[in-house]
Amino acid sequence: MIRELLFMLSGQPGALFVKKDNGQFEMCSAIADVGLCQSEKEIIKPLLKIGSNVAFLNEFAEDRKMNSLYLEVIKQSIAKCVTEFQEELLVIEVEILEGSSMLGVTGIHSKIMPHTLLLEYLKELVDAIKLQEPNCLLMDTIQHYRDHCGVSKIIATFQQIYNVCLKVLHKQLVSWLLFGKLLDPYNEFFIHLDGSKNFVINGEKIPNCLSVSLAQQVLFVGESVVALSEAQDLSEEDWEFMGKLRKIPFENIVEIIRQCRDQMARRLWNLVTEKDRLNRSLNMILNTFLMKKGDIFAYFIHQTESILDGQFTPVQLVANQFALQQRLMNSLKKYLEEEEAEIERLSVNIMPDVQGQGWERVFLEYKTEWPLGVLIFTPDTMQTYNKIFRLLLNLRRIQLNLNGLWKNLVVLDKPVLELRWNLQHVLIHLSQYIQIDVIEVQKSIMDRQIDQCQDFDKFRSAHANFLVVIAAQTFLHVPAMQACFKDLIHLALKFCGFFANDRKEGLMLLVAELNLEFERLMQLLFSLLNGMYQQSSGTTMEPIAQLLLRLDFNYYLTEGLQAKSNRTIGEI
Amino acid sequence: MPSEVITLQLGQCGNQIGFEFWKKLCAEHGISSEGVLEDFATEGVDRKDVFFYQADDEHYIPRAVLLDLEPRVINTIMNSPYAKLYNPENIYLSKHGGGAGNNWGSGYSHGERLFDEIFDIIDREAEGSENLEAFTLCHSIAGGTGSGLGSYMLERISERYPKKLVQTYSVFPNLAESSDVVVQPYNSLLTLKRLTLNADCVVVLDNTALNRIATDRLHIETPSFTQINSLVSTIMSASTATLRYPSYMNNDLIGLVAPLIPTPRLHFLMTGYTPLTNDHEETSVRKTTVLDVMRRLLQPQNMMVSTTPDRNGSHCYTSILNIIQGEVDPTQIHKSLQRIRERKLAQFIPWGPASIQVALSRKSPYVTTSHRVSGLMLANHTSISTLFARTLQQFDKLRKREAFLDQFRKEAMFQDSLDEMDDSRDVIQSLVDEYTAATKSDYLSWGMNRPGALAASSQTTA
Repeated sequence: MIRELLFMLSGQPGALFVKKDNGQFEMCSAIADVGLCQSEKEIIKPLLKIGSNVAFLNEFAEDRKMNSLYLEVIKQSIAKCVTEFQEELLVIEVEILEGSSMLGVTGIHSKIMPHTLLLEYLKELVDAIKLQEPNCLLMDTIQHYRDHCGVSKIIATFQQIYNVCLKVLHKQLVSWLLFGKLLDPYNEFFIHLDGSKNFVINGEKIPNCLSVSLAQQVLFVGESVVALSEAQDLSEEDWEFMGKLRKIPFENIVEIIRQCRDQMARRLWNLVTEKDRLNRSLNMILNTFLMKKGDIFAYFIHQTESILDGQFTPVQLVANQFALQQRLMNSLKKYLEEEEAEIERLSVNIMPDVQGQGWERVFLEYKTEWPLGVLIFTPDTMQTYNKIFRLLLNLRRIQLNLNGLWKNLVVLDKPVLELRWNLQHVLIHLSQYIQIDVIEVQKSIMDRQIDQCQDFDKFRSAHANFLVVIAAQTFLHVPAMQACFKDLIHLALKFCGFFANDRKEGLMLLVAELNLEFERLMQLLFSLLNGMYQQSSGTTMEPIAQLLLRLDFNYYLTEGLQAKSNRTIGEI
Repeated sequence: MPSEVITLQLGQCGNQIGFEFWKKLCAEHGISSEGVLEDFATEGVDRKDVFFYQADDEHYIPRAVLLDLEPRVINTIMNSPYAKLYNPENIYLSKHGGGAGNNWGSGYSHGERLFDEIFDIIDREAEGSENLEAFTLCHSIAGGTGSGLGSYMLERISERYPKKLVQTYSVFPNLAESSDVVVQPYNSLLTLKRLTLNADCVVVLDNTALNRIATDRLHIETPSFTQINSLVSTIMSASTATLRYPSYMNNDLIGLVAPLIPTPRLHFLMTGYTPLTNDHEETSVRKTTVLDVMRRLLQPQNMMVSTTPDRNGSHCYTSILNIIQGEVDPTQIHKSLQRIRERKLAQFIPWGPASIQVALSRKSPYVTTSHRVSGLMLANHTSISTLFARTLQQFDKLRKREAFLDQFRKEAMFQDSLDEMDDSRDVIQSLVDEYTAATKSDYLSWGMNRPGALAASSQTTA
């Protein structure tokens, strides 16, 4: 009977103690009365529970299904705990067999009682683990139980289990940080490759022991290593430096990751600057998205005018996209001194899910080499560039249209000349403001920052700042200003369109109307600018003052126009 | 759209400044005197095709037509190291080589006789270009060939190529010294009429001012033609910098001139250039800043036109374009504009918006200069009319005395009457009047119903 009991405690069912379907042991009722007194019968109950737990843990530990690195080590730890308990039982059994001690049910109970709580906790842990997707977050579950049990022996056991998991995480980190390799056959790590072959962080998988910012640094270091080893640019020194990672205890890993990041940021900086990739990409963007090479787009606009005037059905979209792309390539090859491979990184497209003419929907795409595309010229960034591009493209196209009228000045009457002059002035000086006061100035600020830094990540923030400021100073986020620009472009288009159609009758009437519309627009523009000026301070004030100065240099658009409309009213 | 420009060099003066211009362009683009791209210049980001085309053997050849009625200057060019630069078929020397005898009428009637031969060359050159935007004419308005033949060519080109821009670099005579060409005022006035009616944009290069600059600023006691022409070629090359080193804007000729010229007649531009230094005394002491450059460009002593001092202070700028070349801190641009406005350094028209446009352009990497930043101003200023008024005065003096008219009467145009002279006088008077009107706030309603203005404009559109 005692042996049966010990057998049951080690998790094995026998004749006396049988295992029910729910995994709990029960004493066989037929032989339930074999000389056990009432108190012994009471004691049997917790012993049955222990046996059940041991059986449960055993079953868990011996499950050979491989689907997780973390589960694997947890199983090993739990198997070890179970084995320790079973060894304890073995000692008791030997004692009994040798007759050196007379242990009844009560004696056995009192001997193994200290283990009860641990086994109980372990069972709860395994229950919790079984409910989870196996990945590195299992560590958080273990940590939770460790921090909430309050019994030192149990804390120590949980800590051991936690430590073995930490070793797995450490291995994964080292593999990533050191070789840029994901040691992660079961997708448990917080970094993975996404559909478009980019390494990304899965925020839900970051364990408590790492902060989000640290995780980002980890991502950055690994990505850098990938880039650097692709470029075969890792030196002995780098290896040695990162080799330290393997040896250091996990507690110090944060500091080491930071050091790695610095090292990598420097190395990556060298990578992108030494081979001139960064400058090249920046220049490409400056020349195209920000239209610094104006001749490319003068030609491009000329070549694509008829296409971009159109509104597209989905079918037309495809055909036109091809034509646009061809013409962009022609323009670039004609006017940009760059290698063909570099030029072919650019493409032009029409946004399918927006209404309106091509001019409102056209956008450029630029395929940059890793790591620039992932780390700097991200989709969001390129979207902002495209918004500025569309504004500049439209400003440029209207100026070209207006210039087209100029040769016929001699046959035009003064009110027509006046409107042309006024529109041209505003368009030119708005463009001048954007190109020189905003883009060129911000570019020089960024250049200075880049010049001082040797750090990829710092460059990243310098560039981010560059674009944020340009977007702000071109009023990209002020709908009223954007609407005003649009109206101005529309007004100029109407004016130019009149000449394209060659209908000379009604010209003076239209021009008088447009002149009034122009005055109204100027009033609106200046009241918007003055309003913003009054609400702003310091650095946000300056650009508005600059635009006001450019547009109203001789005070005509404010005072002169006002005086003129007063005169007109007087005459009426 | 980025463009191509054909340069027509007429007469002695036109060919001399043209010669200096091409020398300068070759140096800036790294093209040898024989049209071969230098080894150091193969990686250039400049646009050479505005002014050059490439022959089958890759040689760069100027889009230039050289015309003269007497051989001296063209022979000098053909005996220089640059002899092989030009397309020999584009050089036209009148066969009898007698010249126009400093007579506008003679130059003009030579044009009529040589029409076929000259336009064979020009038409071939135009057809050979892919995207011709403009003709640029270099000439002087005072002699015989540049003025007379030049006038004839302006009329024909504006008829024959109505869609192409016609720009001129026109050298005005030095009024500070007495000229040996006594009929200079006649020649000038007759040419000015064509510059008013048949050109889209005239860059005025005033020999009076050029000589003053050479003596006062460059400390040359008696400036030579070559020294003066080198000043001119500096102006010409700088004014085309944005075409040859394209950036955001102004990368075609129309984009340069349209923002400067509000109404058809007000198309006479003055230029200013800085730093004008012969030696390096000034520049080596301190850095040239953008503000220095932009401020100096507004000072009369740097202007290449000598206008009569404006006693009423009513003359004003219609527009300004500053082309700044070199290493520039862009934040300085706005500060300079601000300073110029605060200190009222430039007076602008009262009848429309006006401002200073700034184009930032590269410097040629192949030409070393002692200064980091240099600036060219192209400006439309109403005081340029004082130059025309002076020509009118001198014309009137001669005309009243009927002096030196005999040689004109020999030419077909003046055989029956001198109406052409008087008509030209009317056109220039009306031009002066229009510039004066442009200083007032009611300019836009000026001359709306004047029959003279209408007749003159209908003449050009016919």
